[in-house]
Amino acid sequence: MTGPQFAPTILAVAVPLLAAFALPVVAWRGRAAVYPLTLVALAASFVSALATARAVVNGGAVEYHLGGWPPPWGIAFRVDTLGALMLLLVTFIALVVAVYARRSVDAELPEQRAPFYCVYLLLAAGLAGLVSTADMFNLYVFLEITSLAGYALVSLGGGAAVVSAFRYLILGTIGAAFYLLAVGYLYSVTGTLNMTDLSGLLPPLSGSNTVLVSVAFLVTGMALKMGLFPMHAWLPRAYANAPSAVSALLAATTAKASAYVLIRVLFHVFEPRVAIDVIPATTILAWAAAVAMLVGSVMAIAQTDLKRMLAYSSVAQIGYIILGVGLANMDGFTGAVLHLVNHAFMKGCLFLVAGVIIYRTGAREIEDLRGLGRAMPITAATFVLAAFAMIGIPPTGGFFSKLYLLLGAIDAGAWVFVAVILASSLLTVAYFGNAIRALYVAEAGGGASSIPGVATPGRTVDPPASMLVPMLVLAVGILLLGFFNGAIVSSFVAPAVPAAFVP
Amino acid sequence: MSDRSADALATAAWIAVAMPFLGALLTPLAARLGNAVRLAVALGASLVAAAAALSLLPALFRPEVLPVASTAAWIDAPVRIGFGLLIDPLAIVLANVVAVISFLILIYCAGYMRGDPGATRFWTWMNGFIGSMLLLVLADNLLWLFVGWKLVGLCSYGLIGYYYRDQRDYWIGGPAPAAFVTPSAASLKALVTTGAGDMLMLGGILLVYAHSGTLNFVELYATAPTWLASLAASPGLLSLTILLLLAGPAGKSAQFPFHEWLPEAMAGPGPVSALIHAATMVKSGVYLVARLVPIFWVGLHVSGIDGAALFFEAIAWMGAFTALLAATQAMVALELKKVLAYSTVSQIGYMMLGLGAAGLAPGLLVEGYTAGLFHLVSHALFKACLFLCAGTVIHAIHSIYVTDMGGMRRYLPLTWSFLLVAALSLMGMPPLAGFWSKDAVLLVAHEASPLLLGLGLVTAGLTAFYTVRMVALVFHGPESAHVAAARAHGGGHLDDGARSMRFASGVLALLVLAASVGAPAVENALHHGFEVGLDAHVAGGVSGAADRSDSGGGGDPQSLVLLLSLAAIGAGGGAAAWIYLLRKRSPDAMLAANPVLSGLHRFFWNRWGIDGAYHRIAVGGTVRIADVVAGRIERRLDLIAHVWLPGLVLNRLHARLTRLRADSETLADNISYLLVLFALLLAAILFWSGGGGG
Repeated sequence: MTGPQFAPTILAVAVPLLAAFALPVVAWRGRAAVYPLTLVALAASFVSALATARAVVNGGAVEYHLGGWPPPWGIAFRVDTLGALMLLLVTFIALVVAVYARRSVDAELPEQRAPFYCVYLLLAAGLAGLVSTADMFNLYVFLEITSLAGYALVSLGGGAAVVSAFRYLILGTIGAAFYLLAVGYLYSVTGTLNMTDLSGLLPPLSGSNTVLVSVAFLVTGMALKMGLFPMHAWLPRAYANAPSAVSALLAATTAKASAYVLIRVLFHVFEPRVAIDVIPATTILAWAAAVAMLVGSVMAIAQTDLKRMLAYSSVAQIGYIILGVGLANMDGFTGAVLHLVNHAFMKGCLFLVAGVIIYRTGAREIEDLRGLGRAMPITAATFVLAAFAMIGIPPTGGFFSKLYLLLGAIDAGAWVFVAVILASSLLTVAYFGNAIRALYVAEAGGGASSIPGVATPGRTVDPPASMLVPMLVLAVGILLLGFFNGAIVSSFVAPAVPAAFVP
Repeated sequence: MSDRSADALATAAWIAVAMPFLGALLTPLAARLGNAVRLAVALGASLVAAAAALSLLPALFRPEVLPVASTAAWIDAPVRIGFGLLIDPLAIVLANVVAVISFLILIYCAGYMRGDPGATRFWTWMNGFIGSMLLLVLADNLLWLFVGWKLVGLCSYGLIGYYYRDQRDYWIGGPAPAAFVTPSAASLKALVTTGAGDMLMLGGILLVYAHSGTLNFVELYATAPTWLASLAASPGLLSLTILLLLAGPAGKSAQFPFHEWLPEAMAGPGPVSALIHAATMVKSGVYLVARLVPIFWVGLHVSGIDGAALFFEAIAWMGAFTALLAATQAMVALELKKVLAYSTVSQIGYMMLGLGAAGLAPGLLVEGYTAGLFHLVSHALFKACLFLCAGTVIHAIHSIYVTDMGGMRRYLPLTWSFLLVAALSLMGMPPLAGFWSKDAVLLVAHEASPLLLGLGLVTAGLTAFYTVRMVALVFHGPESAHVAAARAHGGGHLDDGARSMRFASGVLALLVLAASVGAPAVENALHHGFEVGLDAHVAGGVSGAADRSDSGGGGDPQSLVLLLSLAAIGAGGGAAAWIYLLRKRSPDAMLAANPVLSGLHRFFWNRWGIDGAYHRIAVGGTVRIADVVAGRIERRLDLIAHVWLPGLVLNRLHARLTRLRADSETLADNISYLLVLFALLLAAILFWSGGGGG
């Protein structure tokens, strides 16, 4: 696609954004229209993303210049294959989780439906904008839309969630400030904010301390935003205390979007060698990631609360993604992007399962899962599938992304990281094994009737279809990502691999 | 045109492999809809597989279109692991033996298993077995062959132990004072014994892979001279590889020294013994050996790597010895199915002998190969028929001992006639199929070594003896007390069994007859097919390597061998007929009168002491070290895995990590970590760019 103004790109962002503005008005007229409007907007956004992805795969990157102003003066949206993959991912997850959210929100936040969906739409719009914009400052704006909406959604959980949201807010704002400073430094030396422009102007400046400090700010800010060890402290609390649907959406998308920003800026805006050779940012990232993989897993083993366990597992999994970034070679890059997508599906699915269990039984502790393998067979099976994907058992998607990461580590000659990947996988077996044991093996305390919410022993209480289907869609997605990993890599990831990595 | 026919062949092969697996998956679901649906699904899947396999058969007569390879990538990126099927004459023959006989046996099962409470499990295992077996014979590389190999082992385990509740009715062994064996113990014995062979074979496969870099058969054939030479370069490595590779087939095909599991495998339902432990699974070892023959033949006779001769010597001697060993035990066995089991072990020995002889002289390749596989086909037919008939007999009389039978010809006339056809074929009576195929094996044995021929001839005599003994004890002579009791009891069961059982045994008996009538034609077709097939696999061609040397020297070897084998059959069969059919002497009286004879009898009855020795070493030894392992080793490992490691992770590491305050509740701690990373990056910048002069 060579001509500018490819409309679906902007629609993916604009429709949910405008819907978010319209929603309070609609809610004032009548509550009934709120949920359909949300769904329609998110569906439209996803369809636009599909159209964009199709155009990108067939004809290369597409652009949209806001207001018809050409860059570098106006704000440009540009979607290449990597962006298209991310756009598909975030719009799809937002849609699926929204389908799931109806009953979950009815149960958990009956009084706050309209605010919830309004903020939810804002978050979706922010995410879509984040991955499709080609302007560094505009990216900041979307980052803040996403984050602010995220803080608000977490705080809807009430009680401990408010405190968690506050911590998330403080740290997130610091992270955003780091990013903004980085952009400011870049602007001061180049006078442009457009990414394409920047990538042309930056190479001669790569020795400049201003530019290098900008890299440092950027890496720090994004590492904080995605909860990379040791700056993950906000993450377990926010994910664990947020309403179920919010946990799933945040865990699946926001950290991923920050990882995407890091990949985009480090490898596409800057020359990759700046972050690899000029300052060893990738090396520092890789080591932090390696520690995150081990620490996150150990902490996950120590948890007794299911959602907290999943949240710590996210800390470890973000480590995998960033390790791929830090390896800075072709397989590492591919593994990072692939794991980013896989993890969105896996962790989204797991949080949906956790939400379903809370919805049906109120159980939050892992020990309370006892006997649920019989009481909620489909839910439990979905959990096991997603857990297998997290462990990396073929043919799930998780196997392939870990395989790429392993190959990348071997390629880089970094045997320490090979060992870390394997060790972390073993620890993953430990904490998911614990949950699976509770689901299937352990006897329920005093017979099936002791499971809260299960009135008659022997009856199954899998959730209603509107919750079950999104969960299963993600579960099937995990398998499809495994089966079609070759196609995903060749059509989305391979074209985005920086030229410097291609051997 | 040939492209299209190749595509059609490939499609048929894929269907043949996939359908039984599909059937196995659907059977439990179909069971919810009722027994009739379950039966239809199970039989339907097998029928489609059989039809697909049959559609491959015409290609055997046009071997020029073969081999056809069809590959699909299992994992494409980032590493490529292929999964494919290879259709060559060998695969076609085996696929047909497997698929067609399985289907007939499944029909038999429809009657045999009627009303059994575990039938869903039974049908699932059976279809799973058929699919795995077809995967085994059609896979185009050693990895997937191994997958099928282990899957058939698993299904065999599940089916031997089908009566896993170990009710008294299903015990085998005995009669008292001899020990009894429960089905679950028997299945475990099979799993462990074959598993030992499999693991050794896996080692061999890995060695092959390390030196050849491929597991694909076609590539292995093409590069055989190179990697065999590379194996031969290290002293002893080639011999080790050969012995490791042969351990798998020896285990699966119940050849000495891994033969002891098969007699106990008879604990499964009758048709299972027919399908798995007579007609198909136990042939997978023969199949794998046949797969490997071209490789080592090229190594030995084309590239002149002398070490490769071990492959053929090992198979030929293993086969010949096992044939004799098992035949002697069949002579004294008291359980009907065990007679047949020993006989299977013995007959597989013949097949191995044929394949081994194929490499012992340069010109024997095609003859030996054809002989071994022709015997495989004919044995599959008549032994499946024998087992089905035996199943019917046992079903009718409710006893596993031949001493509890006798005179049953009157009550089971159809079964008697079917069994007679198959039994005569087993003996090698002309003009039945068994005669032609055994004769072919003996002929190549004769050209390979006189001693091998001698072993083969003695075995032929013994075979005739135990076959006549079995038929006479079951169907002729006076009725035993047990039969009389069953008849007095109402005799409701004392008949030829359900219609589907009669049908399946009858069809198999007819197939035996058909194979007998057409034996020379079948042998020619196989000979031609294998000649062309081997030519494609052997670098440089079969005929190019060596002309067939007429080593017979004086006289016509064919008639000599023929005469000798007929004489052996006559002697063995005659002796048995004299004792058991005509009842001239009581066997008990003969044993009591002759200490040499009774010593031999005891020796054979105790299975040459091999089973006892294995039991003492494997079971007794395990029991003896169990306490040591449990107390000294396991307890400590347990402590590490269940106390020390979790304690480390949960208490120590977790406490340390918490003390690091990276996870702190205090916001100031969180922010300070942020600054640590930032400071680290800035330090890195100062350190690196200071020198760079930015």
